Amino acid sequence: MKLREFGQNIAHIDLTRGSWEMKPAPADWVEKYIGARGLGVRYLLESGPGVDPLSPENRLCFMNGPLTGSEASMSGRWACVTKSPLTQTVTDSHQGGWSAARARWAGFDGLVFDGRSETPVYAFIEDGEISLRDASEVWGQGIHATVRFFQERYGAKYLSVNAIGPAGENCVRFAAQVNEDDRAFGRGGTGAVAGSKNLKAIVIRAKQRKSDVPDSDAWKTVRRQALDRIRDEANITSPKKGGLSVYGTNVLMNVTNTIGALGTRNSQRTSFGDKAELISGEYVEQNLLVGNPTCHACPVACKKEVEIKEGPWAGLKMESVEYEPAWSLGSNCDNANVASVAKIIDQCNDLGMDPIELGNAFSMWMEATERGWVPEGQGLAWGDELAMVALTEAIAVRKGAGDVLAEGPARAAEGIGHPEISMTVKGQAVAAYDPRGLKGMGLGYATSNRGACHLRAYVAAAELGVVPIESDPLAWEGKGELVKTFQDLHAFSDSLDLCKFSAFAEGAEEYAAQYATAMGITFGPEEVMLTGERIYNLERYFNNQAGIGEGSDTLPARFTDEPSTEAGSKGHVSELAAMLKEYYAVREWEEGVVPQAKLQALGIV
Amino acid sequence: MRVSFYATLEPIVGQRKVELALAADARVADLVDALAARWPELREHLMDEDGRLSRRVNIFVGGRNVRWLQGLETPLEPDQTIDIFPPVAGG
Repeated sequence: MKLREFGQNIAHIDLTRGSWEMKPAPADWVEKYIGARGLGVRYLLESGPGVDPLSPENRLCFMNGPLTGSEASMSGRWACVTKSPLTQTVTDSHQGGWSAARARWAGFDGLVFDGRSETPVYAFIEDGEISLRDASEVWGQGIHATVRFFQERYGAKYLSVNAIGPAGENCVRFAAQVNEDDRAFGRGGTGAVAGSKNLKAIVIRAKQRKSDVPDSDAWKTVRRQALDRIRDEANITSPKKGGLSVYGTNVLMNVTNTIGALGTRNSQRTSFGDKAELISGEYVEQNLLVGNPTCHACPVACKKEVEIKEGPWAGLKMESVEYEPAWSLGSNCDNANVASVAKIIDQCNDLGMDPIELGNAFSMWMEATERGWVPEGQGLAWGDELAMVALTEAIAVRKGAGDVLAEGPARAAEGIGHPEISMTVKGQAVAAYDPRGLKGMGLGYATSNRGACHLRAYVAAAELGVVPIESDPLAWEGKGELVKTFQDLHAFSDSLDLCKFSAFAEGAEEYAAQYATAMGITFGPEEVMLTGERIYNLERYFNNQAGIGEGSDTLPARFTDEPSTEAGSKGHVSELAAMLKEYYAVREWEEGVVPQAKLQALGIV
Repeated sequence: MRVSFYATLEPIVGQRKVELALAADARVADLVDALAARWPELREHLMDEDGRLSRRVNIFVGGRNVRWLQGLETPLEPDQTIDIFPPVAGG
């Protein structure tokens, strides 16, 4: 596996004709956009920003990065890039586990799907070859059954299965794709795009391959330097010592609750009080934890496998109670039972849905019910966990109120005439950081190119004192530049493609050193930031071309007009307008639109 | 004064919440001294080699990180809630 030849093996699969061919990516695309997220967006631009996301004309790209599947730490990721049916923007979503690495080991740097198959198919990938095969036997099946079906057919060893469930088949706008480790392309509705193309699964069989690099000694050195940072006991990534490694992502629950940044009851409050403890990482670790599975080449092991021991879901063994769904289905819905949170996450992994969007759809519907805005017989009470479980199924098959909520919280709230109770930006729901208590995160939501997102600019790392760049979470000044810096850095690491959590230990220097050594080129930290900026502007250019421009970088009025009532952030709102002014100045954008001069300066046009 | 310890700090203390009695004019520095005296293993988490508040801890008084208040000089009141975390993030 010659890392420096990254980009030579991009498969173009025409689902309409049932054919495929291998074509190298243009060299200047790889040079400018690196791989994974950046390269995927460049391919998407080629198919046109104006397409209907659920039409055959939309492109569905699965892109590895130049480090994917290599020995570099946290390199088990790839990006799915498409035009989102939820937001109408470009979207990229990243999946962990082993699928990405196996795709690379099978000989593919990327898979670009165009068109639409007339009947359900799956792509079988092995030894540099792809075949499209009949998927009618698993169409209608959940993802867990689909994975078992393919494992029985092809053997589980060396096999990865990335599949959609009923939600994707029914084009639920926030449908996800999930693999055999329950790792998901979670956000943006990529599963609906796959469903619209009748693409049930990508099945990959491949054994591990070692990397071939120009200078193996230098490669070992730069990887060791990065690994030392990850292992450093001062960092949260430190195996079995750092908070992320011991408790997983849900280690956040108690701190956001403490500072008044934990949205509760559809963000009407900013703290869940004493009940937050019951859905926290500490509670899970002490009461439910049964395993610590990892992704390819990851020493952190942030996933926390759990088993529910009592109640209606006793015996359920599932992947992990992550912070985001523990919030979206927990405090956000006034639900303090971690067992039902685990149950619904597991349903999402099986039916193929994004639990962040689902939880926001529920909380919006709960508030609407309380206010008397929901049709008779379709309401949902706060914390009604049994009804939430039932409605999750109904959404996946678009039945009753499920059909309304399958459109996502933004469209559903619009449909009942109250868009103000949808906590969304550009049609995608916010995540587990209330913008009144973590102001940089609010600006990150507003300016994310894929709709509200915590991962385009994870400035919480600075606002919570995790990385050396510290920033007062309640101050708005300086957040424009901070958010831009994180967006650009993450755009680069998402293109390598290293796990986002690598940024808790690594920075531009480590990323540059590993990329330069893998590719045998000269590449420094300044180029990391410039390349990240180029990718971020490319995405924005796509969105502008798609008609999403001035006035689209917003937040729900709840965050800008309704002050927090809880300790830590009490009395605060998001000063979005002031932060946006700063942000546009450092971005050199004109009210959310990239000017031609900026595009030219970055080499995009 | 009620002090809560979270994540990797909780096992060091052996419990989530403890009650501490400090002087009426106590500051965060006094709290840190009292904690380090009672649980010596905590000291390296609380203070760096130069006697400053360590980057390996975040102390919240009334939900505000003392880094954004007056650091070790932040005054404490008897009925205040103190929450102490190691650095945590994820998402």
